[in-house]
Amino acid sequence: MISQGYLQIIKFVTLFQLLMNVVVSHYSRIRNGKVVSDNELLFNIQGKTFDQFSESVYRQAGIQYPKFHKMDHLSKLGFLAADILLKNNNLDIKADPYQTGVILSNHSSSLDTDIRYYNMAHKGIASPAVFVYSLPNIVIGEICIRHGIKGENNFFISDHYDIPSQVDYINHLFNTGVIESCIGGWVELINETYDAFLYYAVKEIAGSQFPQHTPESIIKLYHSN
Amino acid sequence: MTELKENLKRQIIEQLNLKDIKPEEIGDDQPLFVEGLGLDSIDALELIVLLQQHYGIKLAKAEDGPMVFKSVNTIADYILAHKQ
Repeated sequence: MISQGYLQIIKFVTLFQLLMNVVVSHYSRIRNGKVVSDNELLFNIQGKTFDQFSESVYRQAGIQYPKFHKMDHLSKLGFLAADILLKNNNLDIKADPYQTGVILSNHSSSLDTDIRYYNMAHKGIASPAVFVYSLPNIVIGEICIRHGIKGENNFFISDHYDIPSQVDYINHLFNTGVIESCIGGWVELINETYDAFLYYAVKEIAGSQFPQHTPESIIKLYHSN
Repeated sequence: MTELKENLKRQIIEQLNLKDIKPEEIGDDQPLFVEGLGLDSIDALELIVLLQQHYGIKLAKAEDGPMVFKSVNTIADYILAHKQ
């Protein structure tokens, strides 16, 4: 007969193994005019406004998606980071769209667009196309529509990028069988300051050398570029 | 009428951020929604704003929208019929 204590140990070990089986296979970073994918500098476009910069990245990356031009700046930033992350690494998540999650966070929510909408409303007729972007999780919607993702998603607002909490939340989704892969990260934009860091976490592929999905590995990646 | 249609095409492109489309690529009778320019429901709201901002016309009945915004021709007809 197996004792309760022994069962607890087995449960702990099983959970630990599950946690250890989630790895970070790729990441993308966009900030200060630079676009990086897995430590490789793809584009370096200096001296431009965000509008000009995002347009240049869109053109140079060969993206063809007319709706991009209608997005607000936060959505453009997240959209480009996700496209670089997924397309540049040939990650096809359409095979299992319900098992792919998107968990993002930032500091300024959708304030950049909120202010723009507020100013428009006070000048006269406000644009419905601007109003629809006055929520931060719209960037997740744009990424999901583009890549056919239909799994769990959430957008958290926090004072700083709380990596331990985000990693813990994503690992919980993996461990409870909600997702098999996930785009996690930070998409922050206010005025002309922007910073997007997206990574792709997935259940470990046998024999891979990818880092484990732990707070330490994400902190290391986030501060590497 | 021709000048009105040309202006409308430029205004639609600007208002709806259709950066990859040129005015001459929009046919007068080309459907604007779904199979034509592929506009969506938010674009329809923007077209209502366009009518108000540029022509001072308010769409009296929302149910008229699909008929009015069918093409550049139908919008131009509506403007001519309602502009004071």
